[in-house]
Amino acid sequence: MRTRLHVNGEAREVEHEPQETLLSLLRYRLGLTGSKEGCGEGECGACTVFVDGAPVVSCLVLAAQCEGAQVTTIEGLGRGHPDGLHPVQRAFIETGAVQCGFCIPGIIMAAADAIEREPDADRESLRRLVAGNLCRCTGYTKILDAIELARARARSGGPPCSTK
Amino acid sequence: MRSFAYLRAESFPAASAALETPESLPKAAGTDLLDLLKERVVEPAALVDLSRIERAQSDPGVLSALATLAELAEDEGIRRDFPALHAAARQAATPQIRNRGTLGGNLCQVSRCPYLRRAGASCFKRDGSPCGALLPGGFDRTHAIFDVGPCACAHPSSLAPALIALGARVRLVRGEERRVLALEELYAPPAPGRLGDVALRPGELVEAVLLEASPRSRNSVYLEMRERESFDFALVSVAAAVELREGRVRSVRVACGAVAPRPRRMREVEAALRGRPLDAESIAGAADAARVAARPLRSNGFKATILHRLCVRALEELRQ
Repeated sequence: MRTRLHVNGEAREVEHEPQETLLSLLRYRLGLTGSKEGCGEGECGACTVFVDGAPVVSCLVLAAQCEGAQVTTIEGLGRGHPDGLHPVQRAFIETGAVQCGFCIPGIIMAAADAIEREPDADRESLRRLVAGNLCRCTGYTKILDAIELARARARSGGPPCSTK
Repeated sequence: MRSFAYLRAESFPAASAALETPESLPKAAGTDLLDLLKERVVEPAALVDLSRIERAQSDPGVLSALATLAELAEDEGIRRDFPALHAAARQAATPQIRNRGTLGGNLCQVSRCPYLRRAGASCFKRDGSPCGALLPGGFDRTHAIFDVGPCACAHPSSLAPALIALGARVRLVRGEERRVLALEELYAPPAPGRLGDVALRPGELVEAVLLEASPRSRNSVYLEMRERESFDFALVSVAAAVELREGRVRSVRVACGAVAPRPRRMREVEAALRGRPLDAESIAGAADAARVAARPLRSNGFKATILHRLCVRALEELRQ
């Protein structure tokens, strides 16, 4: 079957099997391998992308259900930002918040959405907002440090976090 | 995952007609269904996509079955008039799944029982074979503590107990036919071939949930206990709605999730409260009534203790 959708601002028309997930379409049909398949059951969040502006786990979304959708992946998150890096990506680099890195694309997507929707969230609330993402290195302290840094910058008039 | 035909429905009657063919299943967001497909627990010949169905005009008392959990959690009217529903929607799953998962899907989801969810394991609901949890040495820690028959599944929906406590009804659609049921009547006892425990006819779908705001619905609460603070299903959930008049309980509804194969109305708790002042003594008696009625399995007696504590906490919150 064929699905037409926008991925990172580009119109795409993709041939795929009806049982393929959005994650599989992104990784294997479009070569966008930033989104990862961790659990494949919606528990780990490593495959988080935006569909029509909202973060979802792409391993539990059928590609066929994305007809006409606007999809943003980690590869497109920084579009329009200096050096192509979203403020959350920059904060992760500066904080050294990445260990093995497998969970990070999903966490950055979830965090970018959390900061935009709840710019006044404290650390506890930020924890809840990224509760759909697991880090198997258990490196949560620096991950939350980075998210707090990005949130503090966004609040003090830094670039807004909207690239959806 | 086995391949299937994919059909996009434009309306509930059209979806319903497409679902009359055997071996077809409905899919809204399908976050639960996709897991079951990947595990080959279900292998439908066709999936009927409900997600593009135009939603009827919004009426505050009519919630579309296609509303996402995130939409319910963010709705100010729900927060004000139905706080139990607000709390249940806000705590369900993860932010990503709440953005996708729907009200109808939450109500019709399949139990988390590991025997049911693993193709090849012994499961009464999948094929009539003995319930794995009830076999010698079976894992029954997260299973039911009420109404265990040939299946020991615990019902996973968190929205169902909240909505039952709120006195919700569901509107079902099959072709051009519609019928309305009390939500608790949507659920049926475990039966082979009926994974979702809902008494829907072939092709029938949940179209909407109907709610009426009242002093009782505004004084409602939902609490759940999970093994993990973040993403997890409830071990026990309790929802209660109480209307007080002159200090006494004029009307009350209490329902629990994850304690029985179906969401369970807690009539013994309600009976212990009706007509009495809502005070420490009546609350203790009501919570005891819940615990005494429970019939735990070998290794889940702790769920009866959690149920007791959650009943106390929930009712304390409603004292005003």
